[in-house]
Amino acid sequence: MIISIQNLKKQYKKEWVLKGIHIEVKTPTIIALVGPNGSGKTTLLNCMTNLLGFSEGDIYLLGKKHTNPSIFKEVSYLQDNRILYGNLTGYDHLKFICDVQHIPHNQIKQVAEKIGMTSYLKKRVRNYSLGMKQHLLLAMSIINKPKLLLMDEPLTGLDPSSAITIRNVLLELHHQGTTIMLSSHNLDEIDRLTNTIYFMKSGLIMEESLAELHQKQYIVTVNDGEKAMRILKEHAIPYRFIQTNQLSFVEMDLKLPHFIQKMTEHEVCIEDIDSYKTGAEQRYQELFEGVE
Amino acid sequence: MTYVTFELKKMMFDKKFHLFMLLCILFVIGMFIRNVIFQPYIEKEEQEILAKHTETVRSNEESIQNTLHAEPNNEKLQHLLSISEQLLITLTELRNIQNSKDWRTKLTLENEFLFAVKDYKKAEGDFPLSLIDIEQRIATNEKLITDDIKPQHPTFSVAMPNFLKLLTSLLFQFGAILFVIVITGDILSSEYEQRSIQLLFTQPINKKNIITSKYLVSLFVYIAMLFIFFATAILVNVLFGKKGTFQYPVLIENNGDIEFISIADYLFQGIIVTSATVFMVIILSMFLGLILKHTLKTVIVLTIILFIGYSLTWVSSNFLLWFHPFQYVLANERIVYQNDTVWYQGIFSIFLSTALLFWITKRKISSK
Repeated sequence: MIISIQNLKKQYKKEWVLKGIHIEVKTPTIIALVGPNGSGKTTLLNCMTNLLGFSEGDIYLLGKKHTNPSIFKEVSYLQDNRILYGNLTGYDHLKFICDVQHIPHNQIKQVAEKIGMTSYLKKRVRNYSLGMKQHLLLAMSIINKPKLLLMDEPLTGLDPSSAITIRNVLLELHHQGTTIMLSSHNLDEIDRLTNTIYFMKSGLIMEESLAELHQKQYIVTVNDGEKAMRILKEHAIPYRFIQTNQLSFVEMDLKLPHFIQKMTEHEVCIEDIDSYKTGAEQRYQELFEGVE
Repeated sequence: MTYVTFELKKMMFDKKFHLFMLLCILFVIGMFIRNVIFQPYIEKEEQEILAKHTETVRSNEESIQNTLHAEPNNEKLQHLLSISEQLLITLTELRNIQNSKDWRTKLTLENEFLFAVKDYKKAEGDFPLSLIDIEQRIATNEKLITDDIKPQHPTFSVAMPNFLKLLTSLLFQFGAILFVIVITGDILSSEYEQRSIQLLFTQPINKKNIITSKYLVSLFVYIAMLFIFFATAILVNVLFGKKGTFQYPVLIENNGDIEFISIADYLFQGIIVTSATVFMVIILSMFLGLILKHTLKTVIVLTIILFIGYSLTWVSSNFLLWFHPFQYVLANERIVYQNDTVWYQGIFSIFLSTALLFWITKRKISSK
């Protein structure tokens, strides 16, 4: 088991910040934590890394209790850039991690090249831009080739090219077998990274967004809606009534050519076909409309 | 060890550390320049004092003579008049040899003058010197003559041992502790304020090692400060100062008696007790930083504890001082006034408190 969280509850100043979180991750995945500010995303990550205590529940990472400091040999946590020391260089930070984790120093050069931070590696962090700091934080969290990478807002304040670099690094890590759990508000980037999304609201995980969320959907307008729906019902194909003579279905249930064939066979005339893809943003709007 | 190196690097590249080390050097050089500049004024000051004394004695003599006109048989006034005459003779002699390099004769004459002033005051005459001052000056002069040590100005000396004594007396009067509070008082609390502690907590290192490493680095900072302080003082003295002797007497009070220790002993005792206190203050500030997680609050609470702790010295019996770890906050006082106590008697309690605080702080950080 990569992540096992059972009934995690966290109370802060009489308010329940986490109200019973259950997470089980068995295979390497990229998981996005999405939710409005104050929904408990950072609290969950901080509890997982023992930076925060909690009221009830159990957390195991890679089969070990989360309080065991040795988990950080295989678990990395990318936090916000306040954890960096302004008077030290990027190299100093990476060297520190190499030293405490017994990683050869030649890894520093490799990671810096991969992330594209070689040119400013030996500059003091106080002179770094926001993007440079994010690069350094990423380098610090992947230099030990973790099996589990937890990331709190890794895509904040990045220019497009930095975002692309970070995305590619994360996808490469995932292909190498790393499980990544990241919180982010950048829903477009999340769509590009994963289809496993944990929507968090008021200390609860509301929905694990599954693959179908990302399926292409069709909205069709026909000349005889009732007949069309009857045909789909006969073939046990799920559909959604939108309005008179207009219905929708997902590509996973029925490929478009098959739909056209069936309608033609029954002499139903298709007047219009529109397609769209449900992404994290649409789903977020559905779930959190009016929350923020 | 790896983590100690990282902590050390953080401190070495800290602008505040550089600034205070530079201030330390500038302070020592500044004090030395001040003393050099004031050298010509030392003689002038002595002349002014003699002139002032002469004026006082003459004025008193005139007043006594006027009273004697009214009461010619007043024996007390006659006695005071005879002492005044003696004082004037001694003062004249002192003024005559003011520019002489024969310091032994000067001290002998000064003591003659001081003995006469003492008699004068005992005969209920008025003179602007207290009996304690007179006793201490007589004893110091006698000690200098006996040990054949040339006297130095107590404040503006450029002789190395006396200059070091002047500087260290400032260190021993809260200076070293203040320095440590300013430089290392935030060593743990700032990590919580900036959240950089979270970087350390998400590495496979034992949290207890964070305390040990930060403590060792704070000790390093203190030792570096002492080294820079003394190295600068010695260097400027070797280049521009005078030699002097570390056997120069420092007056101390013991059970109301006047005693002397050498400057070497003063430096040794001062460094030992101040360093012991600094060792305790460092871990105390780390403990408070861990609890309060805020630098300003930590410094304020620490200062209050030190102040209250030292205040208890005034009400503690000599026996209780064996168990009082805050008695050397103003170490100079404890060295110079050793009434019924020994200079080292608080050290055991300091080390015990340090060890206890160390243990509590380590446990506290582990439990978080």
